Parts: sequence; C-alpha cells; structure tokens
Amino acid sequence: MQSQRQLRQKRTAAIKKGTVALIDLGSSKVMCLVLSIAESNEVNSFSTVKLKREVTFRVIGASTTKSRGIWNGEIYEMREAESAIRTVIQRAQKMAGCLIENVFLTFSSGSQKSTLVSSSIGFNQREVTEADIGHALSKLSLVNYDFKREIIHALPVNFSIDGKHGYMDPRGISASNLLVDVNVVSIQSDTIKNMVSCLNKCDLSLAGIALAPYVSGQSSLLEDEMQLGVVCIDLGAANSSVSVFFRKNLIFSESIRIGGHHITSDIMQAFQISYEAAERLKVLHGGLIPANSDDRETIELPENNEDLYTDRRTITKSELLGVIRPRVEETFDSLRSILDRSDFEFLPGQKIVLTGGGSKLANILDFTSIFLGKPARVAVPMRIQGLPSSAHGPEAAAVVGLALNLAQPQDEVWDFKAPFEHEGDELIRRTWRWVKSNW
Amino acid sequence: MNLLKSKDPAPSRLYYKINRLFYRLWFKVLLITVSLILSALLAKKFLYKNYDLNEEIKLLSKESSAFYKDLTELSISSVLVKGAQEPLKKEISTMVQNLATEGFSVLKAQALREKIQAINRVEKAFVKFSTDGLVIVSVVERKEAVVFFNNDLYEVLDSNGIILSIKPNYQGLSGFPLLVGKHGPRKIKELLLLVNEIGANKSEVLYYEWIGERRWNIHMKNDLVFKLPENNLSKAVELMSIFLDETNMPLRPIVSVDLRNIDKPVVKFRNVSSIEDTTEKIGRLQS
Repeated sequence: MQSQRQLRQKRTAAIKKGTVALIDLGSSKVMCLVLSIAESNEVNSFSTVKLKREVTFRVIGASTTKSRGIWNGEIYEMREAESAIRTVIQRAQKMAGCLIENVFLTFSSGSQKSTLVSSSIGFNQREVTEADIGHALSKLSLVNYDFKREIIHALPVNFSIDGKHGYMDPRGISASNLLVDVNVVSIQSDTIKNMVSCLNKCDLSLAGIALAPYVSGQSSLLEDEMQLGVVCIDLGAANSSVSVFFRKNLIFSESIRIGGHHITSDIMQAFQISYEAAERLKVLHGGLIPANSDDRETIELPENNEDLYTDRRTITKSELLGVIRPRVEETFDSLRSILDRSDFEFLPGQKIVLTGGGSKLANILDFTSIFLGKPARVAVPMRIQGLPSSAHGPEAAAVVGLALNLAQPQDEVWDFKAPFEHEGDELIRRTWRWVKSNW
Repeated sequence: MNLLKSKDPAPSRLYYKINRLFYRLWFKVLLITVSLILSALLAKKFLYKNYDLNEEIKLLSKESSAFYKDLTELSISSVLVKGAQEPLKKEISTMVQNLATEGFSVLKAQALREKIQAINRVEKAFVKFSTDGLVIVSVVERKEAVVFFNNDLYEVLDSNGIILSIKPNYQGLSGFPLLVGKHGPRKIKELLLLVNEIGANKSEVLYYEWIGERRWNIHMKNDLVFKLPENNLSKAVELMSIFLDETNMPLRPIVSVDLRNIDKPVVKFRNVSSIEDTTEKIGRLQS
C-alpha cells in the first residue's frame, strides 16, 4: 500500500517533468513509447477533494526489440532483459531527442491473481462522506494481504448502501450502512523486485506499474462494452489473459501460461524446422477453420541445408492446421474454464474481444465465436496522437492502454485518504480546505 | 511486429551510459568547458612557443599590444633585438634594461614599443614577452639615403626626410647624394629617382641643388652645372648623359648647360679664354 502511494507520488513528479516512457515487457517483444506531456486539464475526481489533473500527451518516440530474458512476465535472465531494455530505451531516446528517466511498466504475469474482497461499515443514518468511504476501505485487510504477493491494482468496483448494489459514487447519499467491493489484482512480489532491479541497472526509475490484461482492455474496449460487461482476451506469446469488465471497472482478471509461442513450438516439433521458419509458417499459412482445398494446398518447408539435389519437403495446409488447432483449442478450453469461474455468464453483455499478437491468427474470430458461443471481435487499440503506424496493431494494445491509463488513471484504494491519517493536522487541513473552497 | 529483428544488437552498458550522459545539460557544459581548456593549453604549448615573429610580423603588430596588455608581473632575463645593426641593438637593449628598473608596469608591450619607436633610426618596432623572461624586440631600421647640407652641417636623412644623424663634415658620407637648397628634404624621393636615372654619371656629380622650390640644378665636380627643367626630367637627364659622353674634354671651358627649355639647350662658355688655358688644353690633348 505504501509502495503504491510512493509510486503515485513518483507518477506526479514524472508527469511534471514533461517526458515519460512506457515499456511493455512481453515474452516476444519489448516495446517502448516516449510520451511528451503537453498540457493538463483539471477534472473532477471521484476520490479526492482536490481537483485531479488529467494529462494530454503525444507520442514522440517509439521502439521495439525482440524480447530477451523475459518469459511469462518474469525476468529469467537479468543481463539479457537489461540489454533488451537498454536497446529500446536508447532507440526511443534517439527518436524523442530527450533523456528518459521515469518509466511506466506493463507486463502480463503468469502468476497474476484476481480476488474480490468486500468491507462494510455501519453508522447512524446520515449522508455518506469521503471519510466513510476511506474508513470502509481501510477495513480491508490489504496491508497483511499476502507477504509473498504484491498488489498491483486494488480497484473499488461497487458500492452498496443499505443492501442496495450498483452505486458508483455514494457521496451525499443518506444511509446507515456502506459496503465496498474491491478487486485486488496481485502478482508474486519477486517479479516486481526483479523488474525494479533491472530498471535500476538501466539508470531508470519506476514511476508506475499496470498489468497488461487491465490496460489492454482500456485501450481496446468501447465504452458501451465496458458498461454492459465484456471479456477481453489478450493472446500473448507466452500467456493468454482474460479480463472481465463491468460498469467500466475491471471485476476479474486471470491468465494462463499458454500463448502463441506454444503454437510455434508445436509446428517446430511437428515438422522439425527452425523456430523462425515455424513462426513464418504460422503467420503466413496458419489458420483454424479447415477448408476443402486444404488437402490440395501444399506448403514448401524451409530447409536449413542448401543442397540443390535434395527435394524440398512439402506439407499440406490441413497438416499445418492439424498442428495449430489442437493447441488453440486447448488454450480456449482453459480460457472457458476461467470464464466459468468469473461468472461472466450472468453479465448483461456477452461480448468477447480479442487482442494481442495471437489475435492476428487467421480465422480466430470465427473459431472463438463457435468455440465459446459468444459474439467476438478483434480489437486494435485506440489511436493516440503521434503513434507510428507500425505500432498500431493488436500487439500494441497493452502499451497504448498504459498511455491511456497514465492520462486518466482510475481511482484505486491508495488514492483514497484513510481515516486518522495525518490526524494531528487534520483541523488545519480542513480549515485551509474550507477557506480555499469559499474564497 | 515488423520492427522485430532476429539479430538485434543491444548497446553495451558503457555506451548506453555515455549516450545517456550526452542528453544531460551539465555534461554538455562540462564537455565544452574541458574542450575549450584543452584547446587553450594546446595552443599555448605549440603555437605560442613556436611563434615565428618574422613571418607573422603583420599579425603581431595588430595583436601584440592587446595580447600582452595585462602581463605586468614579468622579470626580464635577457633582451633579443632582431633586424637592427649593432649600435641600434645596443641602444635598444640598454633602453629595455633601463625601463625594467623603472617598474614592471612600464614594461607593457605597448609602452615599450612606443618608446623604441621614438628612436629616430627605428621605423617600426614589435615587442614580445615570453614567459621565461625573454624580451624579443623586432625592429625595422631606417636606412640612410641622402646627405643634406644645412647651416654648415651635414644632416643624414632617410628616404622620408627623417634626420638620422648630423655630422660636421662630409667624411664617410660620399656614398650618399649631397642635397642643397631650401626645403630640399621635402623632395628626397624625387631626388632619389633622379639619381637613379643619372646612373653611372652620378659619381661625377658634386651635389644636387633644389632651386626655387621648382627644379633641380646638378653641379658636377668639374664646375659644370646642368640646369634641369621642371618637367620632363627623363629627357633632360638623357640629354645630359649624351652631353657628358660627347664632350668629355672640351676646348673651351663650359660653365653651364641650360636644359630648362628642353628643345633649345643653351651651353654657356666662359667669357675669356686665356693663353694659359689654351696651352693647357693643347698640352692635355697632346698627352
């Protein structure tokens, strides 16, 4: 909790400096965007009395490199991961023409866990104040949550007043009982420690952190979809994640350790070809829905030897589909079981949105609709100012979402002021606030 | 992602850190400062020590004063005078040494240069101090051109009419043309041209007289006088040369040749020719 509050302060300081970098640490690629914070407008925030500043930004630098030493959102080889970050940072710096010091990080962790926790307080019949909300949130046992896990997001998703649900802003409503539901998303604390250590070795300072399933949804989903209820499936290289949004809040998130890399790996093993050749085969000829012509359509396998006298091996497209489809079915089967656990069935919206690099696989849209029995669409992230066209694809959903999250951060538990905090100077603060608001 | 490359070299840690440093303003300022200091040190070591005064004399004339303006705390170890003859060298060395005893403030290049230039024989002077206490004085000395006879004294002048020395007699000055006449020193350059045109016959000339601030009379050693015109001097000198070659030993003594009207030269003989003179001439002819 305290570390998240410190990160919030760092975020404010970083925004004041005018230039920040966003890094998406993926298993297949490391992507960096440099944002120039142009100006800020004051917006009314839900949680604080003070007006919060909404920033507007422009992308002034972008770079991507092949991921090294990072797998499932965890650092496996520190030196390799460091070199990958150095590569993207140096290129982005060159493009932006300025020094990058503060970094916002996003990644998709295989160890992420989403838990819905509730807390309620009772009081005499009166109007609900911010202090009551803070009091209710402080009763959540987040401090001693789990010593081996680090809370990344703690999003208040629902307020209930006197047993009635669905309140988004309970301030000023007369009640005697307040209940708050908070979605707590956590990952293993070692993962964060390694990442901070890696960034420090690159002379960078961590200013904020967000999980990829959450920010991918923010960049890919429409407002109505998020209001009604929607599932965003981020198909990454090493893992696939599910995030369920309802009433514009993330209410559930989980991931499985199967991704596009496993499909490539299957092709590589099935046809005994190199990883690059298998990836090429998947991208160019891969698919999921069989067609009548597949048995006749042959694909030449790229061979490593350059012997002109040896005939090249060929496979039919149906053979390729026969390798890809079982792995995708397995992936979606796991995703379906996650969706069953998330109570997505009971939401009014039943749409599935695919994003991430894996969503570029041919026929995946039809396959998803048939397999999960829900309407689906493949989403590209929202267009942001200055974003190069090469970075405007489903694979950039996380980093674009991080930029949007930076501009309009959702209130989290640590944004609310806990009761009895700064108790000594509370009177002075209240007096000052009153003078300021009535001036 | 089409930007991905299979072989994507990462920058080394050192290169990455140096690259980041170049974005910092303080590092840029530091780098520029160090570069300037290094350049100044190198310039001092190589350019200043190997400075050739003779080749860069014009540049020095402009910059020397300003360059050494503030060098006041110097101790003089030796004085080197270039471009002057021995008497002038001694005079300048003595002057610099004397000025050094007066105080170091006097030893500013500009002041020293002015004092040296105040010497009549010095046309131009350039002064340079080196850090080891050596004072290098480069001098362009005035050259003696003409002797002007004035008030029974012989003034030695340079081509600009500056008096270099005054002597009571003509001994040792026969190599220079003797000039006579009011405001003669104003016409020294014209005189030098005239002497140059006369050529080999100049050894026969006794003195050159500037008459009425208009024209020249040339007095030969054999009492013959050539009266030159105001203009067209070249032709007059040509006629004079012809005359001297043709009439080497005339029978009657000639007093003057008037070339003022160049188209009608007038030769004036002596009025009375004595028998002694005639006899003498005949004797000379026979011998």
